Amino acid sequence: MLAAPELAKRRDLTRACMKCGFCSYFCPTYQAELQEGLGARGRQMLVRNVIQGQQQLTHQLADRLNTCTLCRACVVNCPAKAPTDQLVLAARADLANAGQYPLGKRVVFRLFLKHRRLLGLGLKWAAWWQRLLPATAGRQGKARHLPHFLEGLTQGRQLPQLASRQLRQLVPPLSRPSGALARLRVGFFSGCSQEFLDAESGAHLVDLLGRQGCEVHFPRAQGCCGSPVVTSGDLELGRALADQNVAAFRDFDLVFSGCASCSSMLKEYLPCLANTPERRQRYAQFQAKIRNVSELLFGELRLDPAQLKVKPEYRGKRVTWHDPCHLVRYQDIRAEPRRLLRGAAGLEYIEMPHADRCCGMAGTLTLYYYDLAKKIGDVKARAIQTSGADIVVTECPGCIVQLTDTAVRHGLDVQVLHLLDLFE
Amino acid sequence: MTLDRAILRRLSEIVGPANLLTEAEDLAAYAYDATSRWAQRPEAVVFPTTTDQVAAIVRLAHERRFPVTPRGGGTNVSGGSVPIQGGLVLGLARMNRILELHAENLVAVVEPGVVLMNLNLALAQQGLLFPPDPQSAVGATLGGVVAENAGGPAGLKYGVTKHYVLGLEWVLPDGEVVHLGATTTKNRTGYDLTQLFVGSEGTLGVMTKAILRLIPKPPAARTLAAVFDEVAEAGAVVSKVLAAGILPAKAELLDRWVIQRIEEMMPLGLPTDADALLLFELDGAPEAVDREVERVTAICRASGARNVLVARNADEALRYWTARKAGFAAVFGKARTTLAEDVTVPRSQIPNLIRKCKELERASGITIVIIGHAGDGNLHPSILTDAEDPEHFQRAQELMHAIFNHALALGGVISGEHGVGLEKRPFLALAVSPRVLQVMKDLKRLLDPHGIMNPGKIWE
Ligand SMILES: Cc1cc2nc3c(=O)[nH]c(=O)nc-3n(C[C@H](O)[C@H](O)[C@H](O)COP(=O)(O)OP(=O)(O)OC[C@H]3O[C@@H](n4cnc5c(N)ncnc54)[C@H](O)[C@@H]3O)c2cc1C
Repeated sequence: MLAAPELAKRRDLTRACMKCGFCSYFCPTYQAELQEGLGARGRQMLVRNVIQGQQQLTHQLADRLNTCTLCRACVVNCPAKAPTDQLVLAARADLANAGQYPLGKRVVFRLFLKHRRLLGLGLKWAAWWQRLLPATAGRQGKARHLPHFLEGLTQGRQLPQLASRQLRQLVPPLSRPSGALARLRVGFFSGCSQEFLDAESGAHLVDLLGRQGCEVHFPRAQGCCGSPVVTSGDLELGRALADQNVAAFRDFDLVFSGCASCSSMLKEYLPCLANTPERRQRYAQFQAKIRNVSELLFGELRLDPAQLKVKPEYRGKRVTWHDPCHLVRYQDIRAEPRRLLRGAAGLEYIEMPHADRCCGMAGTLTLYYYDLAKKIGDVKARAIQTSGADIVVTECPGCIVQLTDTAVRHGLDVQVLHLLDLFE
Repeated sequence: MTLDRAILRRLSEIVGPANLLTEAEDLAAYAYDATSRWAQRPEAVVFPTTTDQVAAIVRLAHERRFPVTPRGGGTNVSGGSVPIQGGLVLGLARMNRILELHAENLVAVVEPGVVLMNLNLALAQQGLLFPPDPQSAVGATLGGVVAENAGGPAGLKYGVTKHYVLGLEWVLPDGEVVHLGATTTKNRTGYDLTQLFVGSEGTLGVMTKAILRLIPKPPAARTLAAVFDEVAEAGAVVSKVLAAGILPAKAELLDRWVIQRIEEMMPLGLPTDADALLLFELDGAPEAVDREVERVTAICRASGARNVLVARNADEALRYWTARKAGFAAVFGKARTTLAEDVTVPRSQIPNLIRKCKELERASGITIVIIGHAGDGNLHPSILTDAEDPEHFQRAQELMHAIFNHALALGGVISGEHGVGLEKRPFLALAVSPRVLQVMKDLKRLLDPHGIMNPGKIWE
């Protein structure tokens, strides 16, 4: 009996890889270490060894698989489109089941992610304490999944600022559009970051959409999207969270999020978590409702970028776009944000080299493998520097944390902002 | 175990602990290359970062008699970088600097771990070109390219790697560093040892630097694709083009099966009912290229092409060449095991070889896909089989044997560019005489008396 049931189910997925090794060129962790076992082909082969019973679920194996950023650069550049990301996720689930699930993670996830109110309270308390920490000379502070943050408290890096007023205090369950008639009724999935860290950014988003004619609902029953949990291999908790979110948004035909990671996770409940016909059906329906915010703006709302007004403090600035993996490769969204940045009056848009390369945040990677994350970030720092931009714009709170840390480490004179925070 | 504790300690001293791997999970990732049939874990992997370190490692191996298998990108398709006798894998990936680029002398000096794609990008910025173009540029390193004497579609006009290696810094199997060749294009100083080491597949020592000959990048290049209803007919066209006084940069052949798989993977609008597609690239001065495109189009039409598609711009051309590159993936992705052969015949014999493959396919009922460098006679008939099905696999191997024999009978060779490695060991004796084989073995023994460098390769 194979002790790796999730991988065993995916045996067929291992057949696509023909070991050409082309993925190494695109894999951020391979490029950082130039070491086969930390590249996509190496991970493919390790997983194959597990399936063939030649490799135990050791913690050394966990290290090789947990360092994958899940950026999917290997998949999109693979001539055979070998689904390395899916295999890594499955392997992590098997590893977690076999006990390779760090205790800290497990406690934080099970306690706080399952119990949103507890998380809110805990973070309020933490926010109060955080005021006692010395502030960075930087000008930003945004992050996403809180559990990452909690675990990262001891790591001595640029920490995101916790919100003293959380999103539930700032945004009511129902926000009516500012115009006379509602053009669209939408559910808002805030994600942990906009709820607890940069709540102002979340409130701003709701306000902006209100001015675009949206009736925005912010259901209180929503929880964590599940991304940190699923990527850590805890499928059981992932399902609990998924079921909770699906139920919370039952009454809406459209659900949007301003977090690239959240929206991509919500869209992937089906492939990642559906284990019964019933869940398959519910997750498929749910998936069809999900929009990333720029999809909503350009899709349903048919936004003309010239309509948006750049905030006074950002007018005349040079901006560059960083593609979050979860946007560009998980949701195939590449053009929309650029259209917005190019089309807005008062911004000068510059494309940085390899804008779609992973920044190195990669969920919990940055916490457990900070040195690796820094090396990946160094490449990004050079690209940002080459662009000469004043502001790096992106749409993923996770990327924002990592890019901010990278910018501070390299002494770059740039600000890192969420796309929609540029606009009034 | 050939690597005892003292050896490991010494290796760690030489390269530093961060450049030495000994954990089982890390070793597993160095057990393979791009072949499907071979796997063997090394006992350790080292990543030297200087020539001195490479020399110290090889000297240690020479003294303590343990196997050393050099490895670049691990993309070779002959088993070359599989450490089949265990021992040490010498990973050159971290020696990856382009040391010198001389536009005026058309020379580059590179370390072995430079990935070919990165060299290409650096050269393109200065209007320069290193013509050898194995289709694996994103994975292959210059060390591997030199050690396999790699080539690609551009072989037709520009030749292969050996035509572009002017000199080498080389660590001999006893750990001594030698400098061979020079930066000049012409050089007649004794035996050409540089050329002996090009294509030596890691068995005669380690490349630590290469002096490469470059050319100015041709100012214009255009691509056309001719569609044929008969694959052998397509194979004959290249000779006609050459007879008309035109030397295309590239001429590549894809058969029906490959066209169909490519269309499934990335719809490019290729005609899926055609029997073959012949891709040409013509390069040079813009006016000359335009004229040649017209003439090649006319020749293809006159030779039975159903249709000739001329790429209108660089983007469209790139799409055709991307498809060509995807050809390999198309083949490998569809079978449990693929015997991707590398036979090469005189150009005029291409139609003959193709016909033979088709005949064998018909008689055996086993799919033989044809994809390859029609321009230089280097075809890759690929036999789709399954190593886990002994009966099928046995028949596939017999087919392979038949193809070898036929290629040799036509005056060809068993490997054009992939090398012998492990895959073609059993067939070497078919291709060279006993005396020639003996000379090769004598050379090996002279340079590597203890047989430490990539043991088990080339002959059995
Ligand atoms: C999809 C695909 C397409 C390919 N297309 C082509 C093609 O068109 N043309 C072609 O010629 N090949 C092709 N190849 C084969 C392969 O890419 C080439 O052989 C390439 O040159 C190998 O380079 P590498 O860095 O991966 O070497 P490796 O695979 O790591 O090693 C190859 C051999 O070189 C030796 N070696 C490596 N570095 C050194 C060094 N510094 N000193 C001494 N010996 C060394 C190794 O011991 C081994 O014997 C293809 C492969 C794939 C998977």
